[in-house]
Amino acid sequence: MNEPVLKIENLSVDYVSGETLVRAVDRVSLDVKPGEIVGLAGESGCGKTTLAKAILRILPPPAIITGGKIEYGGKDILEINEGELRNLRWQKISIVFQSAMNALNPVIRVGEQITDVILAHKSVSPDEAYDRARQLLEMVGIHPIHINSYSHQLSGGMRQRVCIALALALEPEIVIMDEPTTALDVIVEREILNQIKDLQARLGFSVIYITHDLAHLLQFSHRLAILYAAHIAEIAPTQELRENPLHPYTQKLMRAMPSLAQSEVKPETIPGTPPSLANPPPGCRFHPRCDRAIEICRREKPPLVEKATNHLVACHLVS
Amino acid sequence: MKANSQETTASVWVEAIRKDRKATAGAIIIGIFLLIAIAGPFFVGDPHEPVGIPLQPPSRSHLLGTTGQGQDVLAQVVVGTRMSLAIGFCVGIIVVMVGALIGITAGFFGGWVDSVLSLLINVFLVIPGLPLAIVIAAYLPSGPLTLGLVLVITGWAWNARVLRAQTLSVRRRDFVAAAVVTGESTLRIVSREILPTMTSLIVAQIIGSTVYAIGAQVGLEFLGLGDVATVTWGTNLYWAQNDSALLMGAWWTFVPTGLCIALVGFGLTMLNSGFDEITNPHLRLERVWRAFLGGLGRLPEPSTPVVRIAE
Amino acid sequence: MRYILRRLGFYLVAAWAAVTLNFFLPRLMPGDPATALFARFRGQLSPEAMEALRETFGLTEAPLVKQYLTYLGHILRGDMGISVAYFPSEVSGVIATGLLWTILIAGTAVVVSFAIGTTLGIIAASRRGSWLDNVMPSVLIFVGSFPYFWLAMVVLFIMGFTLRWFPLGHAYSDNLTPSLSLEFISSVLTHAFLPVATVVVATLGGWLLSMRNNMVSVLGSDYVNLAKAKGLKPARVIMRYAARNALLPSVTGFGMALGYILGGSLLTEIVFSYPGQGYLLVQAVRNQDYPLMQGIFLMITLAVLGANLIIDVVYLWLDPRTREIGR
Ligand SMILES: Nc1ncnc2c1ncn2[C@@H]1O[C@H](COP(=O)(O)OP(=O)(O)OP(=O)(O)O)[C@@H](O)[C@H]1O
Ligand SMILES: [Mg+2]
Repeated sequence: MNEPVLKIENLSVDYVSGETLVRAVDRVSLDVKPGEIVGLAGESGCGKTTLAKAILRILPPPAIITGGKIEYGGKDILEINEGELRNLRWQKISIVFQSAMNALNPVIRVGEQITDVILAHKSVSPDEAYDRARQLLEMVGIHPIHINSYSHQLSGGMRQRVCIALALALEPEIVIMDEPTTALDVIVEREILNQIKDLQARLGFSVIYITHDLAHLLQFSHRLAILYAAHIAEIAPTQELRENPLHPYTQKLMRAMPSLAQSEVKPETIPGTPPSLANPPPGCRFHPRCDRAIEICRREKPPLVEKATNHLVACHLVS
Repeated sequence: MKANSQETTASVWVEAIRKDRKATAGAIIIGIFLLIAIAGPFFVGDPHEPVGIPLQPPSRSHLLGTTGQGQDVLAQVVVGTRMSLAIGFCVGIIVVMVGALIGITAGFFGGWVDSVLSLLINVFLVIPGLPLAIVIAAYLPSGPLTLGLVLVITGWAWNARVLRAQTLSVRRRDFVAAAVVTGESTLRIVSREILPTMTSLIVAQIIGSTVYAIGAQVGLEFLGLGDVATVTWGTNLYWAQNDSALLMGAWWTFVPTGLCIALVGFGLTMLNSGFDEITNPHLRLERVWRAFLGGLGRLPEPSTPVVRIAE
Repeated sequence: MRYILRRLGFYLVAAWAAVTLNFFLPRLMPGDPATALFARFRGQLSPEAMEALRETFGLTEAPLVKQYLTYLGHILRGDMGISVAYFPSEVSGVIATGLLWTILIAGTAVVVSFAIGTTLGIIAASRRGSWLDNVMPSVLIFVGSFPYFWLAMVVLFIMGFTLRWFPLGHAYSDNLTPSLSLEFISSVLTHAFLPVATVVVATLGGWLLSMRNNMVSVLGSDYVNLAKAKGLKPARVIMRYAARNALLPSVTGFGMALGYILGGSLLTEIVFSYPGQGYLLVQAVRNQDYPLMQGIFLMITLAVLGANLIIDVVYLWLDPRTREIGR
């Protein structure tokens, strides 16, 4: 019953940089179950966007996928041809980009950008497609009059909603949301988050929700993956992770979170900066910033092991 | 210390040219022509001297035949190389210097200074260069100086425009803003903070402007606006046209010169091809990506390619 | 349309700058302008022609400001003085005869070259690694490195002189009179073919390369990758989402290249003895016909400014963002 709809196994993605390769996603495994919201959190530059775009194979040069499997509907997305890819894209898996500003084409009307995907995949008339587009806009709280607008005529929040409406146009099974609320103010952010939650509950699609803000994810994801420097550090059901974070990095992230309940306690910051992916440290990638690092952390890469049911962690201290 | 850092920049350039096949080819072509310009004239006779029957086709005694005045075409081409390249490179450098002065001033000071200078730049960009050059040159005594002057007047605006835009973007960066706040002198900020970020661009512009200068110079001379008594590529073509070489079927009087002009222009453009990547970083990303796939015997694909090398 | 008005204002400033340049150039000559100018023509020209010349330049005893205003007045009335080479014809009349031919050649060449080059650029960028992408740009850049007029000489030599496929010069057969007959039109077309083709071939590479480079950068943008993610047909992604946007910088470049290409096209006319502005220009240079030279300069400048205005309107239509400016 609860078989995953999407299974990512040991996925690696590299950027060609001069004569070397920079690995931005390193042997990442992650699965998504029907109707599940999977959170993916990590600092800026840890490879979240790279992972998201790799799933649809839309990473532009100089990216290449260097290994792994992405299973969907009994097939490996990394092995199928262009035609099969086109069928899968948007009908089965859609994506909301990090920056709505850049994601919408500035010289094409919003309406056309929504209807063209409907017309490309469904046998409907242009009029029907436009009706559907209007419905979609209304669904995300935008007046249908904006169907004739260009993206520069919309506010940041409206653009982001258009992108969400667009992602839901074909009622896909999985929606990847890459920081859909960055660059928005807190109030709009909250509104949009609630909207996503409602829509998800109503339509039942699965979500891969990417953010660097753990607080959001703790509130509404079912499961959470913590990414650190291209590696998965920890994956667990949200409840479990909140109560029992095992990886030192996760623990620090939690403590770095500004908590509304105890506003007098100043959130801690994590000392140091994330390592450069072009030149990562040996052993555990977190060890230079980890105050509990021991000898083995400097030498050996910790494997991802299951510590409790569905709770996986990659840390020498835990095993 | 100082010399050392300059040495490293030079070696960076050499490295960049060597890595790019097109740039290497361009550098070789330009190298050969520089050699011809410097040493060539010592190996050929006087290009003015009538040495044979006019309009003789290429033969053993005159490898490229003779002109309508019975001069040796080879000698004219070789001697012309020197003058044309000299004017081309000098004008190329001066044009960029003028463009840099105006463009950087506009971009750095902003405000009304920028408004006025931008207007000037845009006016000069939109006024057609060749007719303007002709009008100016016609009033001045013909010769290399006049030629250089009109080429600078009609050629600086493009460089100014690009450098102004570049200055504007550098100006916004933190380290420049910081220098401005700490009250460093303008000259110092420009020479220490801004210019170093633009060296590649400026070199690219000098090369591009040289291409322009050679082309425009040839055009003006062809019209008879140069000093028709000096031997340059442009005057060679002027005389070919004037002597109705075409109607006499004397292709050898204009084909070699034209080939030289094209080879130099092509060589400079190829040398510059790597510089496109400075203004458009996507080009570099695309190139390294493609080179990598090519190394694995793969062709670029529309979807992110899968190359299983991590397993 | 605030945007168009602003551009119009700019072109007026540019036109004024060109006129002013025209006025001051003769006065910037070393020495006393009037004497220097007239010294050249003494003996060659009749006293009436000299007087006309003086009149044209407003080189009178009046103060400079007054001279300038007189000059401006003349230009505004379309009076550019009397030609020396074609004395006693008016410069405006002499220019008018050649203007259409120049616009025919240069206009056709520029539009055709832009259309073909841009299309090739789109194909090159979308067929990465094909010969069109690898070899074609370099070949065309090489061809484009020749001076236009030199290409014209070679083309004329081979296709006209040796093979006799095309006429050797002029705009139409000498034994025809201009009319709307099929015979006349086909004669015009065969005469225009080589000059146009030369300019097209010489400028193709530039358009190809700039469009290809624009495409490469647009293809890396988020909105194109989103269009891919949407599972649209590749042709739609390329044409509607990428090429449409990549075209914008090329259109801007088109306006700026216009003057340059026109210059090359003038020289091409000379080789083909084509009766346009280029041909007049040589006559003017040979005869030191300053009024004619300056008239041609003004006329060509105005034509380029007009063409730029048209391009601005096209740009406005292509890029909805410009429509908002100043609203
Ligand atoms: N073209 C490229 N060449 C080399 N490295 C790149 C390239 N593009 C991205 N990277 C590297 O890949 C890593 C992952 O980038 P990615 O955009 O996936 O990060 P992210 O987690 O989404 O960050 P953010 O939170 O800032 O969006 C970064 O460290 C970045 O430096
Ligand atoms: Mg990101």
